Amino acid sequence: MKKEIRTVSETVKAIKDGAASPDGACRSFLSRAGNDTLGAFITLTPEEAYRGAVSVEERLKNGEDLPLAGVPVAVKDNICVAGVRCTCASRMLGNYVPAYSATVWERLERAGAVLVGKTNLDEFAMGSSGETSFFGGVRNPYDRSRVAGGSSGGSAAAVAAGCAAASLGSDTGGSSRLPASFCGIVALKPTYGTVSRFGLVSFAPSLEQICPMTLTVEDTELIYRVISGADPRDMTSVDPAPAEGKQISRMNIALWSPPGVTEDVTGALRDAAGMLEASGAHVTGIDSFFDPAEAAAVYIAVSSAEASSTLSRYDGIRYGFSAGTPSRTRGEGFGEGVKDRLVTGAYVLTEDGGSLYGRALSHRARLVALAEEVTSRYDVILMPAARSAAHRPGDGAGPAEDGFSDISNLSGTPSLTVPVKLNGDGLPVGVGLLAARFREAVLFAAGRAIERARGAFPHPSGEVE
Amino acid sequence: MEGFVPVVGIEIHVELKTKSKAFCSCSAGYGGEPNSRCCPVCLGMPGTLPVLNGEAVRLSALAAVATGCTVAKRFHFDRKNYFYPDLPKGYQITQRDTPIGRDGAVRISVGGAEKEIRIERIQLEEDAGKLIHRPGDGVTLCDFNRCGVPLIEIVSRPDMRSAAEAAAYVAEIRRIMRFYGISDCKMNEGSLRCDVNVSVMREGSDAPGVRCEIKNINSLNFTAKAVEAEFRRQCDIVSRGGTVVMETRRFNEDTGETERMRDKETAVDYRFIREADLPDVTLDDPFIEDLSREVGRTPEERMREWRERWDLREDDASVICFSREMADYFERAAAACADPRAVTSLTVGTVIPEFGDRAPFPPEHLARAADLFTAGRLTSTAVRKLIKIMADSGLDPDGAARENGLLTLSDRNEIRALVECAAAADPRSVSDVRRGKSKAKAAIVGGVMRLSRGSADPRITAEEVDAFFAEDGD
Repeated sequence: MKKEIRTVSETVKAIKDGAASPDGACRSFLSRAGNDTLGAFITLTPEEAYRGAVSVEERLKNGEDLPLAGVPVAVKDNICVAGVRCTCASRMLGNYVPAYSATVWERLERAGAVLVGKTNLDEFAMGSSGETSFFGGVRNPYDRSRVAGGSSGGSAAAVAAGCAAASLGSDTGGSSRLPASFCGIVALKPTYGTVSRFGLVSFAPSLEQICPMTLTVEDTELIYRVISGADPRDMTSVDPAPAEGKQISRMNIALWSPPGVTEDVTGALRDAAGMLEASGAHVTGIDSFFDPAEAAAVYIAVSSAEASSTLSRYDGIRYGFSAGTPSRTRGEGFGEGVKDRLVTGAYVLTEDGGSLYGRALSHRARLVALAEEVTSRYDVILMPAARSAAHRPGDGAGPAEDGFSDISNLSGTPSLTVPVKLNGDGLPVGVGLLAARFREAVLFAAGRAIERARGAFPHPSGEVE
Repeated sequence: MEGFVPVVGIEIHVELKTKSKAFCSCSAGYGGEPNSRCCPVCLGMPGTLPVLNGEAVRLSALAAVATGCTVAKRFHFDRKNYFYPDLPKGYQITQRDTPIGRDGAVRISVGGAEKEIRIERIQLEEDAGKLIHRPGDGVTLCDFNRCGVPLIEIVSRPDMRSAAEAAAYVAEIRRIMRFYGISDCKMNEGSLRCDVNVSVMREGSDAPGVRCEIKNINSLNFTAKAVEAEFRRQCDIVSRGGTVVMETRRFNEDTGETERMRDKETAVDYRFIREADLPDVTLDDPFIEDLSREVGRTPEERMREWRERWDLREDDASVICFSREMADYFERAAAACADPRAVTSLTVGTVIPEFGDRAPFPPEHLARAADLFTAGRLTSTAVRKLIKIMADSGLDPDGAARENGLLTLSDRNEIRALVECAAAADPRSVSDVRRGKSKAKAAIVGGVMRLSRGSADPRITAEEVDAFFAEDGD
């Protein structure tokens, strides 16, 4: 039986070798996406995809070199694609169709990617379980009775279930890496600024980045190479550093295996450390790094404060849902989770709030210094990507679940999630890798070493690639 | 109001004269079809990001240097959060923590007394849109053309002590902003607007009372009137033993009184937060040094110098010093002529009314025309005519005067001949003079002027008329 095309690199190779046409390659992904019962998608765009495939075919005939020729990509529904509705999984933007595309999508399209659809998320990307979408929650492809994680749950589930070769998520406090860990895929939260945020419907601008989500580290690298780089439309954007790889055998890796995580997470960390050591890396255990509860508290204060300001534009006057008056529009247009954050954020910023925002910023500065110090001593910190494997709906730990991933957003450092194993319940467990700013190349090298030692990761259906 | 003085501080909003808006490439021009000058960025559509206009930074830093402020070498932006339908993002991008300018001062002069008004801060921010209340059906429409136009807010210390000082301060700021091309300062188009803070203080005390803010005053005249009205109101309250309540008020142009908008209880908490969509901006030393060079001598320094060096009247200096181009032009002309007073009067009386600050001939030509006048070669009518001819023809003053016969007739023999002609044509006046009515000489002088088409030197003509009758009597 012919091996099914699942990954970015497989798609690119098959099309390059003439083994598949762009149209044919996207057909199988689209048919799986069309049969999606996980709630991974809010909007499917088969017409866009086929139109894209035709255009890619033409461009290839014209001799264009397309690094992502015919690669089917799913885009989180808080990232704008011109002419396609962008809901943010909220009633507020249920009918919003942007007239502009995010820079990341323009770059992907120019590189030959085609759009499969817009994926489901926690409303306005606020959440870590994937359950708070106005359009219903996302189920985990490995076990439908579990959540996919959030907020980029749809993007994670879509890739894991073979509906797209790659997806884009966004990550404000672990929103791409946590669902990647729950769904057994790879996600990179890049160094802050290396990926343009233009076209990402913002919620906490100082924290969020757009993230590649794929089955393999190699694929994440391919996508990152295309979407990264300074953009005149985003003044906070910068070019990534030239890839300065490091041989795994020369790497100095810290293993931080903190308490407060489940046994299978501790086991995955131990396994990953062993894999890295077997590849020749020098692994040292460290007892302490930062307090995840502190990071989570700072994250909640800063992200809620920024959200309360950023989301104040949704008043129903110019676009989107309207219930007559701005206060009724906001009362009916936002879900409970969003309203919780907005109220929290408004309080954090008021004078009556006891300068909570100022205090949060000084804690943030302390955590930044800590992250910089530790990432300067080690090439990579190997640490939990999540507290546990995917939980059942309603069983989430709430925002504190993100405690481990928040450090990367608060300090702008890059962080990669790599799946390591399935636990006893057949659920994926991943680990997190953290490095100094602009050292994505080191993360990729360490991630590939884990993949090589681990072998192929089982697909949700039980098959092995 | 006996025994009290007003204490006044003013916040002036000045729209910067940039081509495009503060954070997008839409036109920053005034007017236009409603909502024809906006884009997803200035409308704050989801996913869009602000991109800072470098010219807005340059002009606001220039304003800071021109008002003696220290320019911030590193600054960021903050968001001021409040709801209003003309504010599409729900927040205004402004500078709370790190204003681009701090601790400056300007000098004003009221009734001959000079005074320094300190400036606390200058911050760069964006303007909001406009609401249009449609009469009849009560519908309110939004026009976002102005939304995102770059503004600076200039905050003074409470250093003014009268309505006249308040108006003089606003006028001086307006002069500086126009002089350096920072803003048009068209108050009727809203490109300069004031919020005036007024409190009262007992004479001899240094503790002002509770202040009220009067929002959105859009003329110099109303600035003075609003200060007067508010001062009167607060004096009434205090002298009747009451207390002034801190509140925001507006000036009613029809009644000439101030009235309450909102009190402290309903004051807005702006929940300021760092604008993370914009990175920190750093200005390097060469950039700031260039601005200092560009500012050079301030208008106030120049006017003082003109008064001392050329004996200019204060009001003439003030008229001339409205733009940098005019000031430079005037200085070159005044330096090149024999009597700067002649250049001054031509500049104020003819050049500025005719051409603004864009005289179509070099200042040396104006100086030469003034010299011809000073030397009596041109009459005051002729020199004005000459200026217009120079502008139209591009000729130099000597050539233009000659070709158009403007030069004064000063040859005594020729004038004497004209006197004789005039006398022959007007025997009645001649006999009047001879009968002792020496006032009738004026008719003969008038006759000479007619015959010479106004070019006869009036002094020589008068002397020759006297001489004609003196000989006559011998």
